[in-house]
Amino acid sequence: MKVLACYNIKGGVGKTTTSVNLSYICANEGARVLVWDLDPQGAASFYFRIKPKVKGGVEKLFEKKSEVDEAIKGTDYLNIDLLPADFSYRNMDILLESSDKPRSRFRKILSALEDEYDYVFLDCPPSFSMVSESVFFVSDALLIPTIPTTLSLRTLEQVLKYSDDKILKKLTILPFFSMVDKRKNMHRLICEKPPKMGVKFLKPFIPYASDVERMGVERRPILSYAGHSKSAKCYLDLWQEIKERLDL
Amino acid sequence: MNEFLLPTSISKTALKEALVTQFSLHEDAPRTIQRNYRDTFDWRLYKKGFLFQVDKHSHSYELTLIPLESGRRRVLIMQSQPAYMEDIPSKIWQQQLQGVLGIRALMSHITISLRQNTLRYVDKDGKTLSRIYIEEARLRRPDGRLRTLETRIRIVPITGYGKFSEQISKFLKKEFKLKAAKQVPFYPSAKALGLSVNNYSSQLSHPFLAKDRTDRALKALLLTLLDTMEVNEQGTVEDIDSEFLHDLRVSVRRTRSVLSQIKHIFPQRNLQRFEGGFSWVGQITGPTRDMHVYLLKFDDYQSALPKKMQPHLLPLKEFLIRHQKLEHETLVAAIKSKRYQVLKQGWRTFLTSPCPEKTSLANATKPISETANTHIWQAYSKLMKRGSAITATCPDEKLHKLRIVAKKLRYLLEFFQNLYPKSRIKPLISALKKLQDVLGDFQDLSVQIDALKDFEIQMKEEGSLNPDTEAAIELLVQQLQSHIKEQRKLFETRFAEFSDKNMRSEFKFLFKKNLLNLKQ
Repeated sequence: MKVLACYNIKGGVGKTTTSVNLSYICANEGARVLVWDLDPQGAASFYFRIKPKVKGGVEKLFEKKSEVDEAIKGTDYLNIDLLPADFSYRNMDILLESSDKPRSRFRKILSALEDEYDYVFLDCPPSFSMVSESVFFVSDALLIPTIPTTLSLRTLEQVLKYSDDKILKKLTILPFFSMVDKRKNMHRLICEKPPKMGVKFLKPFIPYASDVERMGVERRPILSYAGHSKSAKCYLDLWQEIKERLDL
Repeated sequence: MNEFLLPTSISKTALKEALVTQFSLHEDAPRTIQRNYRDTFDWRLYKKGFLFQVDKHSHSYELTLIPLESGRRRVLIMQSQPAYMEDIPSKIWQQQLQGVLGIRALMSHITISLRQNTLRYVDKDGKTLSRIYIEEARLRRPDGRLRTLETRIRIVPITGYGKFSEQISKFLKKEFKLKAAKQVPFYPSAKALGLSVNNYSSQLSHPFLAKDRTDRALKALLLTLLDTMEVNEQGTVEDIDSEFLHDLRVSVRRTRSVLSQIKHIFPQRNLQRFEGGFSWVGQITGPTRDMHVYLLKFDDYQSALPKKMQPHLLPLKEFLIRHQKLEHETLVAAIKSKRYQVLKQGWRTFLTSPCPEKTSLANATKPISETANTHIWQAYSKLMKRGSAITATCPDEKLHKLRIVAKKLRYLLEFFQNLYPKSRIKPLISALKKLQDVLGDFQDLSVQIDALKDFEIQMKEEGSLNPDTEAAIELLVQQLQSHIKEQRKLFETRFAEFSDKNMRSEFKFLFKKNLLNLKQ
């Protein structure tokens, strides 16, 4: 089972659309996929039309495997299940911090799902916290959508600085440009020549496009309603390169 | 999943109307599906615990790997029907099926035409909470006619929303008194077709009784081999995969091995024409098998070369495919020939005719256990004598001859394995197999080197050999030559293992000692 986390400290950069669309592509390739909507805002749950509710909240979820099984919901799509968001996730940090081995608690949940799924996509909340630290600990790769602007690059730098930590060193960090508006000079220049930050950006980028935004109205992955669009192709290309880089 | 059978007394329309009235259901457009249950000829997926269902929709194929016991299904949508494992474009599926399908093709064993109505239980957000499939099915028979099967109602729960499916099931049971379908449609369909599932194995395991008369026992064994030959004919003619021809040839070789090794059982005048006949079958099937073997080895050949050189070998593959087709045409003509049919018919008549109660043939009425012990011990002794005489400097020919002796012993052990305790005979067979592997590889390499040189000449004559391909073949030949030396060295180790003290005493105990006991 491979664990891929969509992460950025910044919000509104395309983490959830990436999690939802890549999980859809991955599932269409015959893999069994779980998306864990870790963000209490519940955007991934919204896209899958699933109530952001976990019975008993995050505390129950950390209790035993049967609680996790109970919380998982099947989506309308082949091979994709969702572990929904819950408002109580805002307390996940406190819960983890009060635990002796916070990272292991997180890992325990995923280990219990090892036989059920081939891939887990973690749709992370935008923060630096015990949750993100635990996410780094359990993941095989960090997918970091980055808007090609100075401020966004700065936040990416912050993540990479954090990567001095030995946990992050074991992770493959895969940043890519998201919400790219080629009409903007800055976007174009940064995408053409990404700054040297010690990590290799994935070549495909996700455009700032109305068919991506429409996901909020359609409440489904872009490939299910605009499969031939340019944006859909970008997600397909992105997944292809992720697989190559991770040898999947 | 809850599955019900719809009796003919209840109309589909009435059922749908009742469901739509009771629940918040959305109806999808009806679909026509061609459902195939596919597996290899020898049911490798079934043996591994799976049913493989392929639904052909208008523009795609939905592949479902269904665990026979418990576990989750795997589903994949493809644009074409997969014939081999390599055709499935999913690394995860390939990993799951790795080593299960091998080189065998996926064949359709059962075909069902389905008309499917789908009702979805949806909530106010448009999220599906349960799916109801009403499936009217018609089974396609081998003669092309269709047989109507019982209509099924499948209620497929969505993970985490099981209670909605339960409500629907309860409603159907209460209102329509529907009965649950006990099996997936595969089983009643197989029954209706008279299809024996998982009924083929290329492994020989004939049930002898120790006291059986040798002539009768051998006729039964030879009849099994003839059945195996015949069962593989169609797949050989259609060239579905290379294993059909392989299994056909193995049956022929085993038959010839019985006839040549075990004498004075049947009147010689009866056997001569069959011996000649099966030798001919061996010859006519050889060239196609050779081409199959080289095509199967091609990927290994290619990866043995430096990366840059690998594409240069492709003309050889084209040559092999071309010649495999030509050889196959000749083979099909031979299989369909009167000579082949007469041979088989005559052989079957001979094998099914009763053995005379009294006979002057020395070994015909001996118990099969005595025959088995005698011949196995003889073959083993011969192998040990010849194997011990192999030295580091003796000619290759001696190793080739030893391979044939070992093969004869292997056949005998396999023919008669059920006469001995499984726990004792199996280790002997596997030890012999290890020795045979090294002898076989040694022989294969010599044959391959000669064949590649021949192909090179033929390609030159046909004008399909360019200098790059020639260089690639030359390099490949050099590499195979270096492997030959390694194999020869390996023989010494393997033979030493095979002839160690424990092995020798085990062979002696099982075959020689038993033989003496029987004779006393």
